[in-house]
Amino acid sequence: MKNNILNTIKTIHPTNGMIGVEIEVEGSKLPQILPSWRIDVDPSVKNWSKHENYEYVIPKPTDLIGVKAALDELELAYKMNNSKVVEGELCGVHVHLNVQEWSLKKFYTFLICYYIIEEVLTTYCGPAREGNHFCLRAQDAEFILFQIRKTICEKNFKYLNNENIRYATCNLYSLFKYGSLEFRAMRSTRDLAAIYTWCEILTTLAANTGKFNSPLEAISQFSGDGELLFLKTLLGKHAPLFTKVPDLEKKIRNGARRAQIIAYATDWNTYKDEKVNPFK
Amino acid sequence: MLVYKNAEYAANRLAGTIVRRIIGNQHIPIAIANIANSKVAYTTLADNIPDVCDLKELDLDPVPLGYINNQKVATYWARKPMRQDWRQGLRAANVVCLSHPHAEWGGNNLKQIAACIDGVYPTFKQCLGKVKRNPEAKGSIAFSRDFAIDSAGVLFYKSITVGGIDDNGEPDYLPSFEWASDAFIEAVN
Repeated sequence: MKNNILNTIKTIHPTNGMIGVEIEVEGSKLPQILPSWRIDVDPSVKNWSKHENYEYVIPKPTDLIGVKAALDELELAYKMNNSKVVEGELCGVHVHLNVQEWSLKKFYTFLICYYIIEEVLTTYCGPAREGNHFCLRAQDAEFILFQIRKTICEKNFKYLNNENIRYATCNLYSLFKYGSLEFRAMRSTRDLAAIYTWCEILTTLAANTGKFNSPLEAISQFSGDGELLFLKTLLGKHAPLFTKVPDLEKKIRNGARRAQIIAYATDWNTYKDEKVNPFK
Repeated sequence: MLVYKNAEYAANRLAGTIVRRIIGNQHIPIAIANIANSKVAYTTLADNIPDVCDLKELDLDPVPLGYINNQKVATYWARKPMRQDWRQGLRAANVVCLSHPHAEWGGNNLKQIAACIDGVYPTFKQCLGKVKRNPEAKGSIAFSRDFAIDSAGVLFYKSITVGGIDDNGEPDYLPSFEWASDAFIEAVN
């Protein structure tokens, strides 16, 4: 049996498709019927918004082509309706990456790489999302790193099956419902191309963390390469989007320091190594 | 930076919590009592002085946490990114002690919490002197947000035992925790 997420968390329903998107929107003249989207009302937004508000959800995980097609459909509907979208602190975009087929080592390697560059990545999502309590970073709410450390040390995922880690930029509680990592940091915006780029950034990061055979190899490469080269290794063509982030190197260094408590939580040789296509 | 424009929403997210007020270059820890008409009633955490400021003067970034030096023991605290507590600021419900699971948040320790948020700690040498002077008094003391030592010479990093302090006052790491050395050097310098 494969040592992967699907076989580790028994509650997951096996699902194909690598990515899912949920967009919370406040505004006016918003589309109400769209074939590629399920349209819900989000109570967390509804209770406070003075505008129309909906949550647009791609109903089944898809690939980047599917996401692009769905966003194109939403874009067209916005234009046809002359919709106005309000950017505020209430609404966000949640992107789910399907990790069911990921090996545990791949899963933890991804988390370490993510936490090393989390602060830098979140700058793309908008100033109102940095430190926002709907999507706290590890530097804001360090508890999540300790839950991951316990999960690794005790080889028991029960520490992640916990609502107390849900409002993080990377929500690991979503593993138990969908077998996904939910990225909650992106702002809701009229600029749907920016949302698509965010999806590309996350999938690129997921693919490139596969270059490392273990969490330790990732953090060793970081030490050898330095901040900028490591960022380029992880984000490829998207790295230039981040090179002008203020205090970039310091932010990545601090991220690496935070990630150490999970990178060094165990002897990774005790985890079975196997090649798994993360987007199978 | 996150800014709240709706006072009613801000009150819901901030009343009864700890954030910081920006005054010049300083970001001062405050406990918010209430918000009305974009005015914030608060008390300073360090001195318990009541005051009022504008909503736009608040720094809403989550306050940095770590070790808090209580009277005898250094306790390590972290925020939980929890769903059932829709507060932007920090309060007892969304914070947890990782070093001492039964430790209580707040109480008479507001001054010490303010010191943690401000990053104010005794130096490593001061802490070492204190535990050496009184090795019988069981306790611990933090010299940074991330590091503490106890009276037995044990060295803690973020609540994790990573080694000890030898007779020369140098860290002696457990074999699997040598990675903490860079953080230690940064903390003591």
